[in-house]
Amino acid sequence: MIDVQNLIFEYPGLRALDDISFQIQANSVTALVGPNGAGKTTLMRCLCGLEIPVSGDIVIDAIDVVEQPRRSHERIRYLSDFFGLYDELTIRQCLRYAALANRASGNIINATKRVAEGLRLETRLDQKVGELSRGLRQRVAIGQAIIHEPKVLILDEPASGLDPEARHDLAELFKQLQNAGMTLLVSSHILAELEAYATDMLVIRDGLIIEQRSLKVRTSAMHQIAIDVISDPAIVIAFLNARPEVQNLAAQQNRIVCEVDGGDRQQQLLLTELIASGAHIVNFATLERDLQQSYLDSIKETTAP
Amino acid sequence: MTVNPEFQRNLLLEWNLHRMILIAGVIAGIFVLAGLFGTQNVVANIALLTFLLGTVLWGGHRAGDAILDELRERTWDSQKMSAIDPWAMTWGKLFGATIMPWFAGCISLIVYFVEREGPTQIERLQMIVFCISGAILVHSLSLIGALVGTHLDKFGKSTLTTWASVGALGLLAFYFANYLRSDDIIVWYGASYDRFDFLTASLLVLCAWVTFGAYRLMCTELAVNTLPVAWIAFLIYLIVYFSGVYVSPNLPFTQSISLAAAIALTICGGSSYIAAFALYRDPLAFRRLGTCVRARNWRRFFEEIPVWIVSMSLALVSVVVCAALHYTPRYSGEYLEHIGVSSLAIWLLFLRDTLILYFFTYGISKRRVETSTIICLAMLYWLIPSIIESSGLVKTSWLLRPPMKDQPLMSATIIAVHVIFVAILVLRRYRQRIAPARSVS
Repeated sequence: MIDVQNLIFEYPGLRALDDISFQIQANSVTALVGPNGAGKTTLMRCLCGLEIPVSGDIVIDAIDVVEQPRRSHERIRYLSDFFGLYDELTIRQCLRYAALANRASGNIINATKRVAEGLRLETRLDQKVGELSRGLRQRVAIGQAIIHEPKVLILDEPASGLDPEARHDLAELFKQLQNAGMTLLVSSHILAELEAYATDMLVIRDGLIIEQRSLKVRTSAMHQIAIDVISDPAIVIAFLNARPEVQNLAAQQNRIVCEVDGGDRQQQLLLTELIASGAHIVNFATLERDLQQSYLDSIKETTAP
Repeated sequence: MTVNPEFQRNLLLEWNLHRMILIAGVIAGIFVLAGLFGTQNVVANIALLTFLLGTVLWGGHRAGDAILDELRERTWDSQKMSAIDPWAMTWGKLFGATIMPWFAGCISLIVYFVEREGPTQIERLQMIVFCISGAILVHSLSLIGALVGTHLDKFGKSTLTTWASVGALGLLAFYFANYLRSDDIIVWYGASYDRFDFLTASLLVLCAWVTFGAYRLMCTELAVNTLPVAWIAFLIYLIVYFSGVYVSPNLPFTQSISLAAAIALTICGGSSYIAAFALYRDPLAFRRLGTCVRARNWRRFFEEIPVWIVSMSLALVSVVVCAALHYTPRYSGEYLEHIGVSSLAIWLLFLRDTLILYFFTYGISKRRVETSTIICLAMLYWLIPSIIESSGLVKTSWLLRPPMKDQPLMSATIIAVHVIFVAILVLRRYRQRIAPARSVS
């Protein structure tokens, strides 16, 4: 859906995006993560045709964004971290304007109703936007963005300033949009919240894409295992240290965490042998690597000498 | 038929019954007071003044705010990505944001038409056309100022809009002063026209050009790529328009062409100054142009080229015409006898000054670039040469202010050296501050 090749963007004396290339699959939710000043917002604005790169190609849904930015806008919608709304208009007027301005297909009234229902705003349609909480304003902004059913939605820090409940609602909304067939690219500093809905992760640092990985498909045979024992963890540690398929072992009190090279069968064998060795095991579980861990691993790998 | 959504949105924000009643009440009060203490013509003049204040000035402010409000409310990005076409966006803002000033203006103009004694109905209608086109001209220029200001900082935005409005009002005042002058004939390309008709027609055409200019700038903002043909067409229009004042069928052909070429040099050079100073100078524009050249993407090259370069190129064409005519045996110009080489010197001056502007543009501070350039130019043109001259070193002062009229060839040579010197400085600064793009870390 999104194909970026050799993209270079510069500010005076500064290369903000340094010859980056990546692809994003249709119907995915990609978390764009990176430290402050990494180039996330610049990349998002380039994808939307709001900034002109020095060189490189951006193709979204078979449209060259650099050459035909106007045409690409039919397929893309961008919501910045400081999304703007017309405070003096009601939600109904805002949605109606967005529908007309973006040539939403079908009946405008129906489109407004559909989006308001999807965002649970139908009871507040005649309320002025200026009177809404940040969470509700965020919903109205998303409503305006999706009313013409774009194929790609790009959101810059959408959850900043939202309370935990609003963040949860937002995560649910993103899943709903993905289920509706949309491709989402979301940047955020709150990695735990991205984990709730992201299917892929794109790590950017110093204007370079340092990693792109799927969060739902395991890419290697290594599995992280947590083992809890009642007593004598030293027996288990000694046993595991002797096993060639076990790596990166770490212990803290009665919990031992390690990585096992192999699938379910290998893990089952390991557990059987551990019990047979007399270890007092109460828990043996596979740990899913969270987004935070994935991100930190990526950063660690790129900064390692 | 779908009504322009931008116009609709502006109506929702601007138009309401309370404001209508308030405005109508205030204006009615002013006219009643004027009627109590003055004649019908006093009321008519007050109506024109109300139009100037209410529609031209307030409307100009609102037209600029139509863009600045979007920037303040951070809605400009979503507007830029909307499907509203540039023309609908332009007129939607131009007439939507100014709907209340136009409401006030309509009342004022109706009162003027009814109360004015003396002129015929046609003359009064002509005055109304003059006022309306003048107001649209100011609103469009204010919109242009705000559109250019979208790339500037907060200070720059308000300053630019203010200057655009002041410039537009100055232009309008110039027209109005001409309008009221006693001599009633204007000679244009040897033909006589009624001043009243000529200036009204001129203002109408100018108003159309400026509104078209606002539309073309809107195209750029909404990512509709355009070639600079509209700019070239506007410059040609200005050359043709102003040449009409000086050129007449009685003049020899070569002299007429030479005059037109001199006017073209002035207009193109002047417009390159205005474009370079007033429009946004993207420091990275030349980086992207370089990419276009390497990729042989000529269409994109001409879409991205700064318009001051287009003006400068047209000015160079007029220099070539001036020089060619100067060396034509049949040339019989008297007051333009030095124009051939002088025109090259003038063109080089335009180039040098623009390069100085770019020298400051590529500096560390983004603020006061224009002010620094103007101070530098004042020193080059006036202060330093005058000091040197007052010390008795007249010929030394020629190094900065060469005698263009008496020694055109020497002047052109000296200024060419200036150009090379400034170009080296600009290039060095460009390499230091812009070109050596490094990674964020």
